[in-house]
Amino acid sequence: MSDNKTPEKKLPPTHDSHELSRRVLEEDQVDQDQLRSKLSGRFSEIVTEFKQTVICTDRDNVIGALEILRSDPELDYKMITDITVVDNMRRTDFDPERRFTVVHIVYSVTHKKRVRLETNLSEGSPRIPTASGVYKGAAWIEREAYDMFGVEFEGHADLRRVLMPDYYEHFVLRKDYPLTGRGERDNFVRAEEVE
Amino acid sequence: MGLEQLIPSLAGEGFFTTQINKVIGWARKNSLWPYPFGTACCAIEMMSTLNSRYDLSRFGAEVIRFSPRQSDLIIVSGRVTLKMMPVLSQIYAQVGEPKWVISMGACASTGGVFNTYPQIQGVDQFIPVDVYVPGCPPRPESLIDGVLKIQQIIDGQAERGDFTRPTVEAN
Repeated sequence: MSDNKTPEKKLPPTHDSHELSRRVLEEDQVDQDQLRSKLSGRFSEIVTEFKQTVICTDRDNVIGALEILRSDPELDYKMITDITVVDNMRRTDFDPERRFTVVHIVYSVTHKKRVRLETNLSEGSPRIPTASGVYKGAAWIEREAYDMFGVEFEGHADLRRVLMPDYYEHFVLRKDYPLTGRGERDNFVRAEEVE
Repeated sequence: MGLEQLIPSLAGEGFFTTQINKVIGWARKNSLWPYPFGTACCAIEMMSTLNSRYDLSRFGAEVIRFSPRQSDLIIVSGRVTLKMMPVLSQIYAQVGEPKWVISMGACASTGGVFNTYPQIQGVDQFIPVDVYVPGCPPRPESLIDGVLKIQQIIDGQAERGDFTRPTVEAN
């Protein structure tokens, strides 16, 4: 056998695969004391969940808190990322007074920070003021949240369904609505019978 | 058939005799104009079938028409939701007779993995389907096989001289 040595392999420069997730984590590191002083009286508590900052508020104060978050130059949360709803019905500690949790996620493009607002709504009246007065783009997102969960956004200019057809009777992402529906998908007429 | 052999003056002149139904059937099966009802990933495979690598025009079915008035073969490729089903029914009604339908892929044929509230569990519940192409999504070869099956159906219809759609019993 010859003494041929395999040439040493040159490794590519180390790639930091966690860079993005670390950057996302940094965006969630928010000065909570600053938030507490700016939003005084507009929230019930500010907690850290899964390394993210959550402002717990109620439906009388949520729009006021969003206005401060958006307009204060030190906070400057100019972008609404998402408005969504959680149905707490299947939770073990379920309380009808806290059936739905509306979640507003806002992001500051200048400071690269993100916070989440949570508002609990009761089963009897799932209503919350619209955020479309503060963030114009919220109107679309609220329509989707209404379509899926039936949460009414008071003051919304055009609260109609987006994804489901207008005649649909149920709100499909509520936990008491079965995954396979209630037979709506089978209720069409055969094309030959229409004529 | 074979008449040209009985008439000596026609022999060797390049004539042959046949039935008018077979001529019509031959023309129809080799000039299928598909309507692409592509709603999901199966539509990508359908586009691939039409492109030069698989070349559906070898079978005369490359003239994609986006108007149901001009087409005679609907290829339902992809998921059909309950908001889309009335649209598909109307398009089916707008296609002139004779017409054929291919249900391409698992979603169009059975609902596929989407056993959920908006998903139609097989378009054959509401429109008649001639050929089901299995797969998720089917390869272009499968769709070509489906088109060839449609051609066989047209051959059979030409043999019977009856191009009306066989009535499917409503379920």
